Amino acid sequence: MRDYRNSKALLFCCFIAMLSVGQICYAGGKFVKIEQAQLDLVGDKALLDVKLTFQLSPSAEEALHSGIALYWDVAIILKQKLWRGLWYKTLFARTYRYSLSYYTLLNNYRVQDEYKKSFRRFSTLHEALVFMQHIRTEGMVLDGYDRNQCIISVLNISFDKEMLPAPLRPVAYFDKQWDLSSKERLWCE
Amino acid sequence: MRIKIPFSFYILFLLSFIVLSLQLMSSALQDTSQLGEMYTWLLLSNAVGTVCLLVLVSYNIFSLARRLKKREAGSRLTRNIVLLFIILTLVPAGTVFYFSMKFLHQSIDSWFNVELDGAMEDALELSHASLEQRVRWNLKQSQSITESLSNKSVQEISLEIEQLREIAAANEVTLLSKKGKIIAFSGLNRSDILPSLPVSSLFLQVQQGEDSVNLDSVDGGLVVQTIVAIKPRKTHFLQIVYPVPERINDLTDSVEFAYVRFQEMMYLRHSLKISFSLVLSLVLLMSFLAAVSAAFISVRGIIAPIRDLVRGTQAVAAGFYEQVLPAKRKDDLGFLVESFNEMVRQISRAQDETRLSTQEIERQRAYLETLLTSLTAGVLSFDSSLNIRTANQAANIILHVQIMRFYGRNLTQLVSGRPDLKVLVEVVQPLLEKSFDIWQRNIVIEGPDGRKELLCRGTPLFSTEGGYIGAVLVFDDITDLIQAQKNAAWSEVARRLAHEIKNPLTPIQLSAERLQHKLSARLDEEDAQMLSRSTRTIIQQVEAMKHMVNDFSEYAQPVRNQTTNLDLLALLQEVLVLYTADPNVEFKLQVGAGVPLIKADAVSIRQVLHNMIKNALEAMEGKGMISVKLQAVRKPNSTVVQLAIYDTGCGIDINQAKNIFEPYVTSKQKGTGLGLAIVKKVIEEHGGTIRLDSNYKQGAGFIMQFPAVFKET
Repeated sequence: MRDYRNSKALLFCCFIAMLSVGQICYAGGKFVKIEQAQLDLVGDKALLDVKLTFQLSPSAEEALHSGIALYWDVAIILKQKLWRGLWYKTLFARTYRYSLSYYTLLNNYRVQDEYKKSFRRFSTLHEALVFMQHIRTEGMVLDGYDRNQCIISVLNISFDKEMLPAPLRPVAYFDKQWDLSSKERLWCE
Repeated sequence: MRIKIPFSFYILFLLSFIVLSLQLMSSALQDTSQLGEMYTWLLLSNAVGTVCLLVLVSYNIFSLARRLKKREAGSRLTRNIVLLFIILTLVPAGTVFYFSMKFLHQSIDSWFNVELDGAMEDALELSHASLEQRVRWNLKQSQSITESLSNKSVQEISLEIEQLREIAAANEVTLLSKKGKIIAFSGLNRSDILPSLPVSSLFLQVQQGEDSVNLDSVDGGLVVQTIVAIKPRKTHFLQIVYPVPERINDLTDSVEFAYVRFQEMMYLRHSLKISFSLVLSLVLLMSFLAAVSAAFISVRGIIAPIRDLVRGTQAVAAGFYEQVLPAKRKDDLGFLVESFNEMVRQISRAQDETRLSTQEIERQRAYLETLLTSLTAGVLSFDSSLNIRTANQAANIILHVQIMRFYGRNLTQLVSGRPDLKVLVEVVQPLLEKSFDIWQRNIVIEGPDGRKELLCRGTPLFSTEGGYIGAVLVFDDITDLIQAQKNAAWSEVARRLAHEIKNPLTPIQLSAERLQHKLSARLDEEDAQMLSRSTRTIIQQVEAMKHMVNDFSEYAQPVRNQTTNLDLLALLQEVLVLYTADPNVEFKLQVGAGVPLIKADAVSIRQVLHNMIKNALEAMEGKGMISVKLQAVRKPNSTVVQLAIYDTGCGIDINQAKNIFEPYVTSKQKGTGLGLAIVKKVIEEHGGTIRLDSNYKQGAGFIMQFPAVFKET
């Protein structure tokens, strides 16, 4: 019985430790914030217009200028309720990947859309970040869209720490300077 | 059949997994291959594996601490072995860890020295300078071309644009209007339909009247993009895109790559240190935990037979000799277990033999004890220090002592509670101590139940080796025997006296009377008087002899065995009343409280009292005081009724005092000397004693004691 109590205490401590680690890993939204997000419906297509506050932490900026490319995933999920909210139907789900890199020789910044395989160059970091603050998707085809119900949009911008160099990753997971993801935004239109 | 996988296999598997994971993580740190993508997962799996090991080791340590607290068998050995493993692991591993860390940090720092950093900066600067020169040269070339076109119309320029591109060795030549409209275009790649348009900032610059130039990267190669206004009108612009020579392109690309890589490594220097330190720490921690786990697993195999041995030893200690331990191992411990089993078998056999011997000894002892118990003689055995070892029941009865309470103590200890045994101890103890041969003594003690004559025989005991191991004292209560012998002797004397003396007395007396009757008339007066005196003397002496013979006859007669519970006080008062008529004799009766009854024949005791009082009266010659004291006297193991009679007569001569109770001993001229002998005989036949009170000097004093009888409630 005593051992059992000890085991319970141990499990409780582990749970608290995991919660703490989770809190450390997920602070979210200090450097990247979703300021405004609007879903426009044009026929069976939807256009998503997102305005962000996009900043880099000093550590991230230093890493960028040291030649380390930074990657973000913009995950968009459009869904509708089924069975009075017991289940959801996904109308559209896609993840767009953007990268920001710095080229020393040409002294310019490049923002690349990994989905479209296109990029743009900017002579200053500010220009690049301003560019990244506005996301406008192309027409998203909604599959099985019910016009009588609102569309639940879920938007999440997450910084991909796994794309950082291996030695930097353990630090990135525990350093808030690397918390370059936004909080998840969920709205219904 | 289900195969049971040993627990150690799981530990081994976990260790292998962690080692593999560590190896992969170490590789992942060093390159950017696919392992690099798995780095976090590898790190996580290592951490989880290490935590698992940590939990396992913690559990084992906790379990060990609990077993140590309970003082379980093998727990201390486990602790010592685990500690040894820890020390043996930590010392070298810690040393290697310390120097590895030091070496690692110094190595990483040495990668990024100032010279290398400067060289990289210089190389990049050189590249920049080279490209800058190229850009300026291309711009000058463009300006030269546009100058040559200053007198030509737009149409002419459009027609010559292909030729211009070839002359300039450019990738593209584009004629643009002032608003940026494409008028003419020539490209190296025929498949290109449209030219690469200038960025807005460049076009704005040229619109403002300045020639603009830009270095750009296209399809992995560098190009120089120039836009120059065609003078003098400046209504059209000529955009020429020059390729950077492949060699320069490769070199600058290489320099940039090296510089970026260096910068990246510079930036990651601290992280690299942390990561390598983390890996090394994990290796150290895992080595430590693996050593501790290995210690626990190894020691389990060692401890198991030791536990079995302890369990077996405890079983043997508890008396279970059937315990056979499993001898699975073929090593030293296995040999130890086999030896233990053999030892237990031998002990078991010896135990059986001992048990049989003990049973035989016990049987003999019981037989001896029964024998001793059934003996009427008391038997005391002593050890070599003459402390009492055993005593039989008869010894308790004869001495009136629970001798068992004195086991292990000296014989003299008996005296402390029983002063009456002092005589016995004073005689026996020196004989036991000094005599190394069989001895025999008659010892008289005044016990609580009266005078006892003991026949004591002592025998020293010697071992088979001849050593003194103690002694045995055997004693018999021969009081009754002696008394019976005496009685028998005196009875025989009395019978003979009665037979040999009393029978002739009557004819003698009759003859004397007849002589008196026949001759007194024939003799003269003088002779007749002499005859009368003589015959009277004869008759008187015959009467006296008859009286003496009667006394002897009375002494020889056994006491009438009609004992009852007798109130001695009442009897005494009855007897004394008969003598109170004499005014010359004063009787003083003192009676103590709670005088118990005695078991006696009333007639015999009455005779005793009469004899004693008559003796006193005779001793006082009919005048004086007789004191009678009756009281209960408590002794250690019994209570007696004591009757003391004191007179104020002439007393008893000290020479006669020793034999005063023997027959035919008297101080009186006319006495037969049988009075006190008869008294003594009667009293002793009632289990009592009589003795002369030698402390009383005003006359004679006698103290009689009778065993008390308590009324049953």
